[in-house]
Amino acid sequence: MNLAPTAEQQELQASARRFLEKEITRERLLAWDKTTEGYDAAFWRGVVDLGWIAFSLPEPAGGGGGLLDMALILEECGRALAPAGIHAAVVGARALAALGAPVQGVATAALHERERRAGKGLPSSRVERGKLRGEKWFVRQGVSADSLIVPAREHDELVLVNVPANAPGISRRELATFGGDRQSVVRFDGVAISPQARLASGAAAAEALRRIQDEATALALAEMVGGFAVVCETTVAYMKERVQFNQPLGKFQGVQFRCADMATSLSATRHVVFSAIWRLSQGLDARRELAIARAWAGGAYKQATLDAHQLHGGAGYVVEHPLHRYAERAQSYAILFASEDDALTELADQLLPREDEER
Amino acid sequence: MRYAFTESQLAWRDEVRAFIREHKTAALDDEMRRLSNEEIGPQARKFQDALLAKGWWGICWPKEYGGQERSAIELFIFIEEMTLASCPYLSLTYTSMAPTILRVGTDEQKSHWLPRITRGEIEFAAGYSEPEAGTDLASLRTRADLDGDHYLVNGQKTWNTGAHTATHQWLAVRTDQQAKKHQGISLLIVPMDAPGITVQPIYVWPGLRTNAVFFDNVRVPKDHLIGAPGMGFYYIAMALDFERIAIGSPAMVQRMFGQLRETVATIERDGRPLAADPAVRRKLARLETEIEAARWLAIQNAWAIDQGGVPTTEASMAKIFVSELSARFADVALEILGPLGQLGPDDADAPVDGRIQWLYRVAPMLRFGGGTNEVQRIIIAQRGLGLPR
Repeated sequence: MNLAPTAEQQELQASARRFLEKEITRERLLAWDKTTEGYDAAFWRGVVDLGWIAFSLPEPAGGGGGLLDMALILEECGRALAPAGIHAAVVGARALAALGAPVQGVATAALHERERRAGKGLPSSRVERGKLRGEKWFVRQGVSADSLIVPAREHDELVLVNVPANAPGISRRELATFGGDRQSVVRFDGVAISPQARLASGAAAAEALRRIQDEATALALAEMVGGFAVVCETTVAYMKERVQFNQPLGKFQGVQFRCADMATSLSATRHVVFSAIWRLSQGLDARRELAIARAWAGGAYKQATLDAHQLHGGAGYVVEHPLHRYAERAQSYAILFASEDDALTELADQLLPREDEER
Repeated sequence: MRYAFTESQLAWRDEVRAFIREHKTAALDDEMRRLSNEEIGPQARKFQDALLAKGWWGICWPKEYGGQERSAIELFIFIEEMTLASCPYLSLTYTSMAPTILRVGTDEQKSHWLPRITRGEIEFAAGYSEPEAGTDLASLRTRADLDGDHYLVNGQKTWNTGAHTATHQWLAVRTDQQAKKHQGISLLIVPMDAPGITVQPIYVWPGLRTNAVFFDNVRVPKDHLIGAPGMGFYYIAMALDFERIAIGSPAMVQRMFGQLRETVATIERDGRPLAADPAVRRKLARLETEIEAARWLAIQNAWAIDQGGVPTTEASMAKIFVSELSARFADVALEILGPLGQLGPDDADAPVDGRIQWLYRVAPMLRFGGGTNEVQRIIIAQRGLGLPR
């Protein structure tokens, strides 16, 4: 048992933190709000130069870092409010590499139907006579990505295809989501699927899709842990500093209780999340731990951001203060990756026999 | 980073499990169901003797004193396995008092008390709380005044669980009336057979027995004062942090959760098993999630001890979380079980051995006992997060 990162992993995190702290300023965040990508070219070049996307690949594909190392970097991204595009690019690159496809530019995985996550039953998008038709929703970086990894059905089985984002027949529209990450709806109107575009089919595709989902979830959870830690640290620091009734707010017991609960919840969140990530990174069965992490982390992080708003009052409510960005991410990441309802349903199916199969 | 037990930790777990398989008899199960903490039954005594014979009275004690010198994680494993299997495991004498003697006692005190403890000859009752000194323990008034080579003890203790079966009191007394209130307290070992001690039973909500204990000019040899005079309050605080490895484990809830999970498949309501009811399924999944979070906080506590030092905030986090989880679990489980959940252990139809209604009544004590959860939150806020006092 060892609940801390190794010295090497800590150094990895420290160097990521140095880079992100230097690059991500308040002004730049406000400027990025107005861009399609959620970042600018210079920043992205920095990310690519650091080798994070390449580093995230499994060793046979030229990378050096496993899922755990990448999760530790994404924890730092979550701390720094780094663009959500990093998560999307890492998930896409790892998916392509795992399926033996070359990685060029930013590939994003289309993991949602309009109403649900992919992976539950067959998708509604279809490949027929070599053409892809259908629609994917909430595709992260959907408008700016260079290629799209799409789960679809073909002859009643699952296929995974990777299509260039500028292929004829693709139309993309940015969605007006609140979370500050870039989500799009992507339409496929008879997009030609070349043999190279086919990544996997049948059971292999289902297995690959499950792996992509799990990794996307795990890395998103790591980002949530990082953000949660900052929310907790920032709130405690402000409670030491803000004076009302001639004393720091942090001297009031009501405030101390909230802060203590937030810190306890953060510890619990960190461990349920990293125990799941650790198991996944070791190739162990992590279904139970991932379901638990999803069921726990979203609610815990959301609650912390709302408590932080309560404790900050107006000071944390102005748009220049980053707190609302953490609060929005907590909610949007919970919706996309850590739905408590979905996770509890899955966990219940692991715990108890299902007797009403029609449900 | 490694979120799993190591090979050697797993081997230790197997060793503990093998011991349990060998020594936990049906007769012991039966006895534990029938007896409350009124007494330690002969079967429990036999089990404890086997633990002592195995040398497992001092899992974390140094080898120098015959202990196992194992890590806190291994102690956590021991407690978890014992609790999951519903075994009577070692009392505070072994997990709290003896380690304190080890840490702060003189060489003479160590060689006098420790062998007697490991032979099972000594059982302490913790004499901390008084009618006017509960959460504010440092206000205690029971006094010990030097009279030649003896202390003369006068005063009254309450919530003195185990006083009716213990051989000795582990007594917090005021030895310096002039010192500041935290600095005038010492720890004194008082034999229960010393003249002048009166024990009166106090029964609490779940039917458990605790006691009021009165001291009237009780004479205690001077060398029974453990460690340095005036340091008692700090020794107690230190011992409580270590105790919380035990109180911070959710293993009891884990065990009952396992039983509950089997039970919901067997109880039918409205023509289907409870296990098929989506509301019940969701509640159980949520409990499983919270139990897992609690277990990691408990492991974090043990792990922090192994990193060196006294785990102040980690212990408090685990204590708060586990005690509040216990209360929530009992309530949710009773709601799931419906009217049947009311039945106690003496009723053959009781689900989960009638233990959940018992836990519902015990859980309030888990929250306010062992250092109230409010005090724990203040410890996290002030000592952990550095918020102002």
